[in-house]
Amino acid sequence: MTSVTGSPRTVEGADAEPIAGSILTALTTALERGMISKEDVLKALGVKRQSGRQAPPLPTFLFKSSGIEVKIRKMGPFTLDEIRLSMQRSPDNKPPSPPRVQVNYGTSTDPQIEWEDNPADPQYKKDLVDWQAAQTEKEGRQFIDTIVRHAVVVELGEDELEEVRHTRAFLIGMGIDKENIAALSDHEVYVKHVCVKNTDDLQRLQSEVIGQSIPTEALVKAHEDTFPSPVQEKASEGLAGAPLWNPI
Amino acid sequence: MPLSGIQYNTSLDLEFAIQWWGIYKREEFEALPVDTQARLIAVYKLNRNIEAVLAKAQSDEIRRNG
Repeated sequence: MTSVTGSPRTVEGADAEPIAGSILTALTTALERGMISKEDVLKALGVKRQSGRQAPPLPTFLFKSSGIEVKIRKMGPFTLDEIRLSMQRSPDNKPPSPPRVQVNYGTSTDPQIEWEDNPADPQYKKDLVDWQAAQTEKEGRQFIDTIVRHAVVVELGEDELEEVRHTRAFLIGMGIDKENIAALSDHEVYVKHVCVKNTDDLQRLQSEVIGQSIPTEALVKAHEDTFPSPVQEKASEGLAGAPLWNPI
Repeated sequence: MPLSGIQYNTSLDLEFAIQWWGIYKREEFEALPVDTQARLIAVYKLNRNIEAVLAKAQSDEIRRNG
């Protein structure tokens, strides 16, 4: 049914058709003569024009352990590289320096003493290995933090915020430093402590976010472990006709 | 693979899994979510293990029965 709405009244049905036709004719004429532009018409009708290509919807990701579905932003290799480099450039990420030692390039009677780094120092070598291990762990944590903050997209409604409040209280009750918990945003608490309930979910999330095209061995193993039957122990039963494994 | 100790790396498992499932071209398989790919590979690997165990059990049975 045709209807024309405007001030001071709304006309519907058969009465509206000639009016709508007249308006269309007037608009077409005005457009043809350049008296108004298409943008003017769209603006008057309240239509917002999409500029550029429409962004595809964000892919969804299901945390299997908690059953919570979120949206994720994928992170490309350039983004990941920038994140890695920024971690390395951080001033508190400096490796330990080797101790300086005196080296005599002369003789005992005519010494020519110079100071040099001694990378073979046992304590320095140990400190370097410890620093590298700590660095790897730190980078891993920062990487996960980046994924949680940037790549996981979730809207926190009242139910989710209630879950966050409950989780904060639980963590503080468990003796975790109150300041550490307070430093986490609601989003971080929700994703880290409500959505992720096992490491498989975390591995799957990382794989999806960084857009891995080939699954890792760990991810395949995680799926293998979801099939409970120990195959070898049941081989003889299998020959007798018992099912050996759970088909998907 | 049980008994023999043979192991394949993940990318070779991926190739074998694509062939085994037989319903995917490589590019179709790689277009699946990584999690689904991992599950299909896991199923293929378990099937491979089951076949190996069954083959061993059958061979033992034949040997026992002379």
